Order: sequence, then structure tokens, then C-alpha cells
Amino acid sequence: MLRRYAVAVVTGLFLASNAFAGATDDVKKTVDEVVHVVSDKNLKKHDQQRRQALKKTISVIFDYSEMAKRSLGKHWSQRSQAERRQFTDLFASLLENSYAGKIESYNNEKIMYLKETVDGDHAEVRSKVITPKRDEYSLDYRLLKENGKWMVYDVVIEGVSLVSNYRTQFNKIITTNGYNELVKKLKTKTDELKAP
Amino acid sequence: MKSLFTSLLIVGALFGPPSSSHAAEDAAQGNLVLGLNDCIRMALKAAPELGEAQADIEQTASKLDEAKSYRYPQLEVMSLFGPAPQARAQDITPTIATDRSTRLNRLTWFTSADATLIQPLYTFGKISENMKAATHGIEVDRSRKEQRANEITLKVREYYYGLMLARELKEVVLEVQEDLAAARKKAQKLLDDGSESVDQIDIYKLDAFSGEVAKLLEEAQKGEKLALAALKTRLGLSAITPLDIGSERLTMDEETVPSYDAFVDRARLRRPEFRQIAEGIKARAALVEAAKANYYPDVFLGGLASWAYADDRDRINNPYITDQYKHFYGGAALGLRWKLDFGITGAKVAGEQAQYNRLLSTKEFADANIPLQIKKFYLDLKEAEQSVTATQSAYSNGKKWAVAALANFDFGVGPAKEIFDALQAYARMRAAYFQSIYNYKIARANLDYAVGEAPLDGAK
Repeated sequence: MLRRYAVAVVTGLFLASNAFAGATDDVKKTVDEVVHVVSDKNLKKHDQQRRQALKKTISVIFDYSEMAKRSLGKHWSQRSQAERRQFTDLFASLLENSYAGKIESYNNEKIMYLKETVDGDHAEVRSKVITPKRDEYSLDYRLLKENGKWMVYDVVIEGVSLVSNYRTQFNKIITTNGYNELVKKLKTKTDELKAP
Repeated sequence: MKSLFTSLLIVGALFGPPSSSHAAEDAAQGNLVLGLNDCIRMALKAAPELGEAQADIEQTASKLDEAKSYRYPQLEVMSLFGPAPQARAQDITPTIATDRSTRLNRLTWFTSADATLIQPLYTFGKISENMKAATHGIEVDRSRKEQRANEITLKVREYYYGLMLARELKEVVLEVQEDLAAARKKAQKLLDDGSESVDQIDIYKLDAFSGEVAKLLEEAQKGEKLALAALKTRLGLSAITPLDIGSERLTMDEETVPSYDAFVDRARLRRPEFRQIAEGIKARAALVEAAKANYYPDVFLGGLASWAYADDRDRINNPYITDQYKHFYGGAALGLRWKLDFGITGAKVAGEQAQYNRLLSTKEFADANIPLQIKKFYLDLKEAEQSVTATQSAYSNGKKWAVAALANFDFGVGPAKEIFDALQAYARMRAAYFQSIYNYKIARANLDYAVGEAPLDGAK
């Protein structure tokens, strides 16, 4: 179940029911590219190449810096530039590795784009993931317009905002054991998640 | 169901390999694939009970024909052929000779025919009331047949939904089982690598769940086979007939359930048992009147014709004398036939009255108990409806919990145990959700039966 959520975050077969412009187009373009990479028979034989290709594709639309900043919440302003860079790198690495692994288990999930809401520089693209067994999951992308390009800064799976979830979790760790403990945990996990 | 959470744990948290989808297998070419309505139609066609019910209708229809036929004249003819003594007119002219005897060497042959015709004119209700009773009797039998059809429909729906539920649960268990194997492998690898995110207890949990999942899978498979076999039997198909159902997923009906009172009102119009009782009471009332009619005579128009011929006998023309071997006469008359007895008719009337009273009591019972039955099924329906909403909410929250727990684990900021717990709740609620939908559909099927909905109208 959860793997499918993760798969849907960045992949899924594009089956748009409506034609949207702007943010939805950007999301769809990335999704199509991800599907192309995952379905490439040549890349299937080379795991590392495929993983790199996926990371590259995902990074085109995911704004890791914004996600990291929002996830750290009020603690972001208390961090130095170096700490922010380190934290952003750790965050990006974990996100790429954990979800790229799941994307590789893509199994003909379909995505229907339902609605696009734009409010100035912010947008939300609502979609629905449909598994081959016709189970459905809601999957929404929150985007921010940067230099004329829509970038994803949050993903909402079944009503759960990843950024909001991480902000709560990170705050709990920082409040209880300090910022360094959080960084230690993220580093440990990064080491565990080695690319195939 | 515990295994499901384990499977998800493995898949998500431990980056298990992709789990293959367990979408229902396509029916093999040549398979008989039927939807619910198709199954109902086939079951109604194959049901021997309906053949019996139809025979009852035909039998009662023959009684109506018999009752109607009493309105028409009845003709009775008797014909004789045999020896007769020779006779001459001189034996009685001018005086009647009294020393004649019948001798064997003076026999001749005779033939005769006597016809009696009776046309009922007025029977004080004997014919009309019996006709009425038979007419209502046919309606009683038709309602019985309808009741049988509704019972068959209910059974088909039970088997059909049961098969769907078994398959949904089997899919859940299969997914869990597959993911468990992958999880076990990944968890062991992380443990061997010295990861802090997994410990030996997690491995023990996975192993414990594996056994439970295997047991659940056997139960689910048995349930599927049993439901399919029962459906085939009800459809009149052999055990080896390849059959599959057209519905893939067990989903909630999108309908607004009417009020309880609306169901009761509808039952009074449609429920076969109500119609059986109503028609039965009319039939019994007519039989009581028919029995009472036996107190009175039958008025009829009678006709008589008699002819006899014999060789070697002279024809006698005398209004006082009739030769039984050689004559022809006929006539018509208004008649009255009255059978008097000392208690027999009274006892029969009392017997019919008792049957009539018995039906009145049955009506009282039905009036009180059918609404009660509807109430039970209606409450079952509402309970299931609430349960679907509750389990859907729980299932949705279980998913949210699992998503959050997995996301935390992926970042190293959440324990594996949290995913286990979330997935356990998710799996349990998912199973409960399907069970609730099944309960809802069965309650709806029971309600349709209790109301007396037509089989295919009720096939939701």
C-alpha cells in the first residue's frame, strides 16, 4: 500500500481526465519522464544508472531546499548557512533515495489529474492514483512558482502532508534531544539507504 | 490481518521489492462469466422449486375449470343390448293374458338407449362460490411461486456477495503474504548490517505473522471455493463448469435508503405472503359460502329421452303401458334436487369456517411479524451503513497513520514498530470495511426479500 503511495508521488501512468495548464502540465511532464525511465528496458539491467536517471528527473520539479526549510519550520531561522546547506543535502538525499527505490516498483498505476488551484505564486494540483486493482489514493502536489517555473514543495498523500509531518517529527526531536540529534539520525539513515 | 501491516512495513519501510498486483485473474477463454442479474435469471430458470410451484398453479387452474364446467348441462346416457322375450299385442288385446311365460326358444334381441340431461339453473352459490375459491386459489399459488423466486434470489445474492467478500479478503491476505516474505528478507539484511532501525524482535514478529497469514489464506481460499460451489449448485451448473462472476470489487451501493415506514408500506403491496393471505382469505370465504349452499336445493332443467327396439315384439301404443323393450318417448321438466342430511353439511360448514378463521389468525400474525422482520433487517442495514462509514474513516486514518509512520521511518526519525502498529490497524480496518460492505449488501438483500421486491429489481 505505502509503496504505491510513494510510487505515486513521483510516478504513475499519466491518464489525465482533463487538460490543465501550468502547474499540472509541469507535474505531468515530470511524471511522464519518470514513467519513461522506469519502463526503459535497457535501464532495467543497470540499476545504478536507472537510479541516477530517476533522481535527475525528480530533482527537476522537486524544490528540496524549500521542502527542507518548511520541514524544519521555526528552527530554520536559528540555523547557520552551513547548517542549512547540510540539512538540505541530507533531506534531499533521503527523499531521493527512499522514494526512488519505491518508484522502481512502478506497476501500471494510473494517475488522474482532478483539479488545479492557483493562488498567485502558489498552486495545488490534485490527483488520484488508481492501482491495477482499482484501489484509489489521493495524491496532491503543492507548488511554488520560482523564476517562472512551478516547483513542488510539498506532497500530500491521502491527506497527509509530508512537510507538515516532518515538521512535527523534527520539532519533537529537536525539542527533546537537540538539533544535532536530528542531524545524526538523518545521517544514519542516509548511510543505510545506499543506491543499488 | 496482522500480516498486512507487516507486509506494508516491509514494502515501505524496508524497501522491499515490488509486490505484484493480485488483480482478479481474467476468466479463461470459454469461462462462463456472469453478473448478479445473470446469476439470478439462471437460478430462477434452473430452480426445481419453481417447477413444483408452477405445477400447483396448474392444478388449481384445473379446479377452476372444473368449477366453471358445472355451469353447463350434464348428459347421462345408458345403452343396453341383450335378449328379450318375444311378445305380441294380441296377448293384451282385448284382455291381458296372464298365462304367458318366457321360453328360451321364444327369445329375441333388443337394444335400448336412455339419455338424461340436467342443466343447472340456480344452485344457491355452489358453483359460483367454488369458482371464486378456485380463482383466488390460483392467486395464492402464484404468490407462493413468487415467494419461492424471492427466496432463490436471496440465496443467489448471499452466495454472490460471499464470493466477492472471500476474494477481497484473499487479495488482502495474498498481498500481505507476498510482502511478508520480502520484508523478512530486507529486515534480516538491515539487522545483519547492524542497522538500529530493526531489531531481532521485528524478525520474530514477521515470522509469527507469516504463520498467521498462511492460516488466513487457507480460510479465505476455502471461503472462495465454498461460495463458488454453492453458486454453481444454485445455478444448476455442474461442479466442473468453469464459472466466474462479472463483479470485481465489493463496493458500497450509492443509494438513499428509504424510511422504515416506506419499506413496510411497500411490503403490504408487494410481499407475496401478504397477497397469499389476502387471496387465501377470499378463497376460504368462498368455500364457506359454497359449503353453506349445500343447505339449499339445486334448481335445474331436466331432459329425458328413452328409446328401445326389439324384433318379434309388437309396438304398444298406450299411455298407461310402456314396453321396456320397444318404445320411444322423451320430455323436459323443471327439477329440484335437495339432499338432506343430519349434521354432515353443518360439520362441513364448520370445518370450512375453521379454516377461514385460521387464516384470519395467520393474517394477524403476518400483520404483526412481517413489519417486525422488516424492522430487524432495516436496523441491520442501518447498522451496516454506519459500520461502513466508521470503518471507512478508520481505514482512511489507518492509511494516514501508515503514510506518516513510513515517511518518518524513511528519514530515520520514526521506529519500525510504529509502522507495524499502523499497518496492523490499517489491515484490520480494511478487512472490517469489506466485511461491513458485505453486511450492508446482505441486509439490503434481506430487506428486499422482506419487502417482496421483484428479483431483478432487487439485484443491486
